[in-house]
Amino acid sequence: MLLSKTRRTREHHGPTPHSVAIIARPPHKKPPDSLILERRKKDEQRLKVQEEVMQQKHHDLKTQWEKETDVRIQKNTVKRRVETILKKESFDLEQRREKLRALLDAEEEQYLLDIDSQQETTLERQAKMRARAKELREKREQERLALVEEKLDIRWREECDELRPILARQHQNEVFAERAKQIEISGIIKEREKEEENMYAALWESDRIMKIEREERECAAAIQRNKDCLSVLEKQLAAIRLQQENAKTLKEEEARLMEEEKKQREAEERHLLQVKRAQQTEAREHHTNQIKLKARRQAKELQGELAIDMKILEALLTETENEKEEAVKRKGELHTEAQAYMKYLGEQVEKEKEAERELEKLIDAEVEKQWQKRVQQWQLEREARRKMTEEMVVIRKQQIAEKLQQQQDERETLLKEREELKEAFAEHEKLETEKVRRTKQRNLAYQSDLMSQVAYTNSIRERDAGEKSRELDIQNLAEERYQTKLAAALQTQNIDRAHPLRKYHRTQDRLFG
Amino acid sequence: MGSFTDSRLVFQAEWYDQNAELVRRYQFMFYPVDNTVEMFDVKNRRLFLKRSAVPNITEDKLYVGSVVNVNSRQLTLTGYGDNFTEKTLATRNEKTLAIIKPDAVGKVGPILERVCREGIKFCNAKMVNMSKADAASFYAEHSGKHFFDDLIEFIVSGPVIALELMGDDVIARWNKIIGPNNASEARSKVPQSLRALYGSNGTANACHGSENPAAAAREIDFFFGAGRGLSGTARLSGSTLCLVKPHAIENGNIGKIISMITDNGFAISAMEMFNLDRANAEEFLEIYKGVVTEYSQMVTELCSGPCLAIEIVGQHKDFRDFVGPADPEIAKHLRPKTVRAKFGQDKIFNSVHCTDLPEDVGLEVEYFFRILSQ
Repeated sequence: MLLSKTRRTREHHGPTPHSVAIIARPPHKKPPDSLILERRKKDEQRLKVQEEVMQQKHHDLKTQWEKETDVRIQKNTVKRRVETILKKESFDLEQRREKLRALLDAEEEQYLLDIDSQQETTLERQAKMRARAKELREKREQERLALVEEKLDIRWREECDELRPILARQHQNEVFAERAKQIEISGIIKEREKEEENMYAALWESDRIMKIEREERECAAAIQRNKDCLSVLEKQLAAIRLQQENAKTLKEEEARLMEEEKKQREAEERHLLQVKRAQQTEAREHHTNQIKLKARRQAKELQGELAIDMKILEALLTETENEKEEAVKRKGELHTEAQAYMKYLGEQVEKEKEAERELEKLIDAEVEKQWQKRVQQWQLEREARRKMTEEMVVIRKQQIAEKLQQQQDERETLLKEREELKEAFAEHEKLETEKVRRTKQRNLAYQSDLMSQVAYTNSIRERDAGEKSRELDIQNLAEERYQTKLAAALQTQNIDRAHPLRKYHRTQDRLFG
Repeated sequence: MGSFTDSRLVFQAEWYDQNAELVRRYQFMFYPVDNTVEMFDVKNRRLFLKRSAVPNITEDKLYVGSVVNVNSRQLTLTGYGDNFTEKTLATRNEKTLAIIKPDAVGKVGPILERVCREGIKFCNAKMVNMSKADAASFYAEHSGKHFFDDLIEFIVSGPVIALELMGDDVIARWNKIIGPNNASEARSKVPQSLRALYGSNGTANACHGSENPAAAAREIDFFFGAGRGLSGTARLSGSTLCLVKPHAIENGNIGKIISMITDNGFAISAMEMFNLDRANAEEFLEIYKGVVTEYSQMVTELCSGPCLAIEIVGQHKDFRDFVGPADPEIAKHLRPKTVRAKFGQDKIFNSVHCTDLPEDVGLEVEYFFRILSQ
């Protein structure tokens, strides 16, 4: 496509070579200030938008402000209204208070006025006093009249002869009845007192008996206690004696055992010595036999050797017969040689015998030496054993001595204890007798006390009896006096003033019978 | 009480902290030997109040559900703190529910007098109108019996007064006081019983009492439990308020006061017992602030215990005259027959509060029977 398209240039080639014309540039499609214009347009647009935004903001602000203001106005209005209402309320309240105050003040004033008006005037007071005086006077008059009436009545009573004896009789009867009652009561009281006394006496008696019984009981218990103690002590003594006997038998047994042991040991030692002697002789025989056998064997061996040597020489002599000359010649030689040899052999035998003798001597010496050694060893052993037995005997003796000492000590302590026991027993008996004596004394004292108490109570009783009889006398006297007084009182008796006791009795009688 | 000399009573107590707006819990320990109180903060595990004497707290004021003031804090005792306290106080502080039925509502004064005389305490009281549904659910145990319809009819025929009573073995004692179920039987057997005196027959028998502790708990919950919307009887118009102060209830004068009110021709249209806290008491008595010098003592007195709000039908002025001057001293002198003269001690303990300004009547009645009642 590119190729097909003719190249468009502005060069225009003419008919002649090198004739070129350049076509003028076509003018631009866009005006030359198009960029600027465009830019301006954009700017304009932007400005417009900016302006709009600004305006919008402005409006927003306005509306916001309006809204807030509205709210504030509303709030303020409400507040104002509330305030006015509250103010009105408080005003109302104040008004009400004012009214109330006025009302209360007025009332109080009214009340005070009322109180004032209630206060009485002098005239009224006078009238009142007069009325009161009148009332009092009337009252006093009435009282006087009543008194007069009463006096008149008394006078009439006193002057009436018919009434008086009757009254007197009545009164006398009453008094008699009462007196009887009194005596009865006093009898009852006495009875009661007597009963009480009897009861106390019985109590005292029973107490005394109980005390005596208790004393006896205690005495019996003490005696029983002493008896018990004595039996216990006897039992202890018997036990100690038994123990001593036991100890003695034990000691004897021990001594016997020791004797037996000693005998046995001696027999054993003897037996051992015999066995040892037998062993020694046996060993000695064995040794001598051995030495003899050895010497015999050695001699046999030497003879054997000599025989062999002779045989060989004979053989040699038989071989040399053929060569007689030589042999005769040699015979001489050999003869001499044999003679020398025989001589030598004789010497040799001598030497051997000598050696044998010496050997025997040596063996004997050896045997003797061995024997000596053995004997010495035995002697040492015996010495050691002797020492040991001696030591043992010493130790044994020591032990026996210690034991004896111990037994002696025990015996001594026993003796001492017995002494002490005897002393304690004596002391106890002494104490017992002392105690018995003391209790007896105490009982005697108590008896004398009781006797004195009895005497004292008897005296008191006698005194009481005397006092009572005196009291009775006085009572009788008083009774008589009372009777006379009663007779006198009958004259002046007043029916209105009865004795309270009598009144009481009367009401009792009325109530119960 | 001698057995408690060497012991202490422990309760769980709650206090609503108004600044922090939360309920704080404490252990509340009371030493009967010297009437001292100790408090232990349960959450922070530390001593909150050292053992110290607190006036106006005594042993008989402490029971579960009671409100006590310790150093101006109103504590509600919500439960027993240990076994010993529970054991010793459970029988002593037994509770029961009593209902004064429509036929005896007019005799509420004498009935309450009798209750006070027997040494029984009030924990709660409310005059309500029972709907048929309420009555049916209350008497559910009797449903199906022959007298059930009559009973419901009778109960809804008028307002009833529910009382929560507390005391030693109170269930048995209250049942003894009210007597046998049938009024005529009561008249023949126990002539002094309440049913004999105020009842007329088996249905209209003046009073109701719980049978046993379980029934008592259920019935108390029925009337006074949280969220129970039994409608009160307040009419809120043409009426005036009489508020029996805590000291009068404490002294057992409430029955006499109510008798006196009813005897003098005033009708009671609503009644409810409240435990005011300090804020409420201040709010209620705000009109007196700055007017009377005893304002703060009045507030203290009003929140020192339960108080009984009564709605009185009648002219405000008449009732106010009937109640008498605010100062019992003056009242004794000038109007010896008025309530305050008879039961008041001084200006603070003047037994009843009564609206002073005629225009405040509506406000005060509504304050108790509309605002606090909810």
